[in-house]
Amino acid sequence: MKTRSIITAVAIAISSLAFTPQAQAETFGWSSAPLTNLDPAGAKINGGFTKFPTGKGMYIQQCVEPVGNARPVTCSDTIQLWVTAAGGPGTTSPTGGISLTVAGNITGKGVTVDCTKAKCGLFFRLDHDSPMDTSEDKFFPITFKEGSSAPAPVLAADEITVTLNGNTLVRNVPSNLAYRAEKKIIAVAKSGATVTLTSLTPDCSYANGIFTALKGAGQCALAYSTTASATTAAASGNFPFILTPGVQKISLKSLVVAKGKTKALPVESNFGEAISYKSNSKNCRVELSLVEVKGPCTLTASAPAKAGMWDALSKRIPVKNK
Amino acid sequence: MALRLLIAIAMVLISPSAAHATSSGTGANGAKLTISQFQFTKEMKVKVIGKSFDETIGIYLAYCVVPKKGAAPSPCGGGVNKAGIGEASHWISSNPPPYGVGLAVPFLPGGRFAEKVAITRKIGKFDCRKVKCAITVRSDHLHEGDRSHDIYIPITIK
Repeated sequence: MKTRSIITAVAIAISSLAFTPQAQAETFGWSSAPLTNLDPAGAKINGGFTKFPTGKGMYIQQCVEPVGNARPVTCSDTIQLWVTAAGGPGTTSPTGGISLTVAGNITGKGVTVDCTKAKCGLFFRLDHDSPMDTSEDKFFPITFKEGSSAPAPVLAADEITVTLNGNTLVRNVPSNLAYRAEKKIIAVAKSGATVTLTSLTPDCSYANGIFTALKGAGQCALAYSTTASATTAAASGNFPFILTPGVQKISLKSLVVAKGKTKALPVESNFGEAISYKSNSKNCRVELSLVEVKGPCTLTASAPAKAGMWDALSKRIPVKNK
Repeated sequence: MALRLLIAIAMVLISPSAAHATSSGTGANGAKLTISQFQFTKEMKVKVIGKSFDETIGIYLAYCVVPKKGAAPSPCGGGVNKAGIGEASHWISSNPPPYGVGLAVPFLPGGRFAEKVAITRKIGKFDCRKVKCAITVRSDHLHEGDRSHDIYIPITIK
């Protein structure tokens, strides 16, 4: 009884230890609890960073223990966090508490591993902005109770392909998306399962296969998910987007007008901004949105920018006589 | 000269009479609401133009009794139009929840919309010849209690 108490006390002490890099003084520190004797049905690990790498982002994933100093080969497709001070949809802040729910079974890239039997842990690495930089790679082992719950059935991992206007999106790698530049989304699951897509933020909308930015600055994310079947595991993830100003347009490329005649010009741009016109010669005279043409000229159409929404319009419109 | 004459004629033709003067209201965030007339002698529909609205916030456009300051416009012709039918009120949203896709009318680029709203003498038991009624905009039920998007254009019925 006394021996068991000592072992338990030591286990608690070890699981609450602050993990500070030994060989590299400048790398991050991580402290968390608990890390041992976890419930394989799902256990929440609470932790926090010290000396989080300035200006960087990191991924935390539940993985199978790697060999030597190599990076893990098998990591969960779903049990992961993207930690960055930059913020944004789908990210976690490096300041304050960080929670991650781990599981006894993990599935990654089509391989399912029982972590009650295999050696698993939390793997930390710099994010996609520093793909080859291994200076912050760290692996913290975790252990699970064995046989405390029925083992989950081994299901094959699904492969979800999502394209935006024909270009394949990469999970957790941001893409640019301009205000009101409608993008057609096609999502396909290898298993044939229905892929559900949703916008994670109100700054973008997803409906009827079209993903649209409703702002010209900030961030959005498109989330996908499938439900598990008898043979295939559920899949989920998200694609972040950086919003950029929209392109203001005018519905007129050129103009052909009979000599001496007057023609009405578009009053508003595609975003509803009032358009003003100037002629480069006396052949054309512009009043409000009417032009009187006596000979060839070039009109310059202008509309102001709107901060955080769209860029200014400046378009040259050649005018010819019939 | 011909151009100036054309513009002058056009200005005279499109300038409204007193009964058909345009009226507008501006929201706290620069959103602008305009109607082509605000005085009515009979029940009819009026075209309402919206511009520069925040496209991330859904709204209800409706004909309502003007409430006490700080309260939501109520009652309204047709009530809150979550079903997205009829012309007494309109649900305008570019990012409605799944049940609202196809029901809510999305904003046009630039935060614009153009809808017709029915003007009636009575809203429920309220007579708009005796109480103040208005074309109103409020944030939708997903932003309940947020009065920062309210806009009113008073209507006169004779």
